[in-house]
Amino acid sequence: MSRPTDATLSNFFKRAVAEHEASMALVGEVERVLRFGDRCVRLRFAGDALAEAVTRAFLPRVVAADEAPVHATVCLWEESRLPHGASSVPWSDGEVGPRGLVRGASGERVVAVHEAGSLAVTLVDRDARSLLYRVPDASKLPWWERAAPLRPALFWALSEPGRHLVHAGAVGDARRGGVLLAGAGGSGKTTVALAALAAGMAYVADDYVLLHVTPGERGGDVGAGYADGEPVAWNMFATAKLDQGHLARFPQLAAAVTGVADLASEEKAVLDVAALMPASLLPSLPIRAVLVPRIRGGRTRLRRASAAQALLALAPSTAFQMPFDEGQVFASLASLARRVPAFALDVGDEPEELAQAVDSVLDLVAEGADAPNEPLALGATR
Amino acid sequence: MGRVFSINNPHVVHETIDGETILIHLGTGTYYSLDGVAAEVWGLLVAGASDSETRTRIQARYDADPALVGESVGSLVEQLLQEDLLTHHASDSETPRAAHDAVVSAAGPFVAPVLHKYTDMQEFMLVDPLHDVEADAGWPHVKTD
Repeated sequence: MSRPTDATLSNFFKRAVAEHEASMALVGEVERVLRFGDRCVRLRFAGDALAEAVTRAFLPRVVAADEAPVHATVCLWEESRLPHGASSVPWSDGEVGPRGLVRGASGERVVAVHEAGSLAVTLVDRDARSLLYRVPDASKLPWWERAAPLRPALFWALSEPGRHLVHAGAVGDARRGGVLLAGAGGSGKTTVALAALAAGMAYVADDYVLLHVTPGERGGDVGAGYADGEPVAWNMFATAKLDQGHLARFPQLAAAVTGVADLASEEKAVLDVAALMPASLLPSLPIRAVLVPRIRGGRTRLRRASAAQALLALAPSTAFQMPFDEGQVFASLASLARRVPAFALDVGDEPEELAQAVDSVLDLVAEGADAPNEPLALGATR
Repeated sequence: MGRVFSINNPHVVHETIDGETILIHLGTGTYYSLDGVAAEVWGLLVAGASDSETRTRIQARYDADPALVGESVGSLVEQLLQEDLLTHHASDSETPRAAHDAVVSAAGPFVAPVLHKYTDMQEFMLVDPLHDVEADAGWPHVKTD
């Protein structure tokens, strides 16, 4: 695959910075600071419309600008706000690699992600820890980008050894901690997360968390009951995404979602968990087990799984989705798989059984019970 | 004498947990698992043992037909090369100390080593990320028509 030159990408980055500044001069600057654990990311928007569209999914994570040191800054603007439009991207379609990644010939300082569907362009200057995010128009931001915005930028901005944006869900409760829901798209992560939410359990995410495997300082907003150094899943997006099957299975949640009748065939309904069920949304949960769901139908069954099964479920979907990952996340997830027990969950038809399975896992872990490698009776320990 | 190998860095990452090895090839979107004898073979190869040394070590550990053991180990090594997980770069002159230490547990019955291959995520790597994506769902949902 051919690549643009490093100079081409650097020059495009400089033009993009100038376009962001010009956009802010035209439509005004809106600043938001998001806090994920002990890391803060500043968003500098050109205009209210984009700030509103992007920030909505992060509302519980918005903090005062001076609350904590800012770790990285993302500058955001819309092509449509520039009178003469934005610069064309300096790469051809053939130079866009897997996961939308565009790297210079040496792959060093400036890298870009050109995303499908949204046509969002994320630019990263690795040396300056500076990020740019450009979209065609805030009003045309697709549903998935509104539900879980800025994933490539946040993956890069928040990554460090032992801490990564990971494709996994997390549910549980404040007393017993949480389970990490591991698996590729369609495995049942969201189904289990919604079942837990509907049953009144705590919700951190249905499919993306900031996972800190070896935390030292965790910041000030973790709940009580964390052991030092325990893995933590931080909430990123205050949303849950419901497909047609979820809407039918969880009518009480479906009733809280607007615009269901207008959904396109592949479109998911976005549940604003922060607005509709604020008490259920926690900023973080300590991770006490990995739960590997698989859609099966019929009765829900739970059994012990190996650490390798947990890693198989966790690692590939994150490693292959995140454009900036070069294998670092794999080592972190292996570390997690070694530290907490894993369970396999055959996802059946009844939501109550799914919530009961999560409950059983948390009880088993709290009691230190070593579950056998055979089906476990749901709720047997309560 | 035999061939010695290196992991195909930086494209391949691997971790071994409780005797099972998981490998991800970041360039192809394929991932793999190795357990039992296969994980032992992997451990020896990445510790610097040659293919001939690896065959000899596995043959010595199991009470099984040496020819069968040697053939199945050789077959696995070829698969690892074909899948671009290993590259061979030289012939060995002396087996590194790490390879001598790589297998320490007692052997059970011999089960021919198997490379389990998973291709369900290849779509992340193989599709055109701008044009082959479902318009209503976005990346990473691939068009099915």
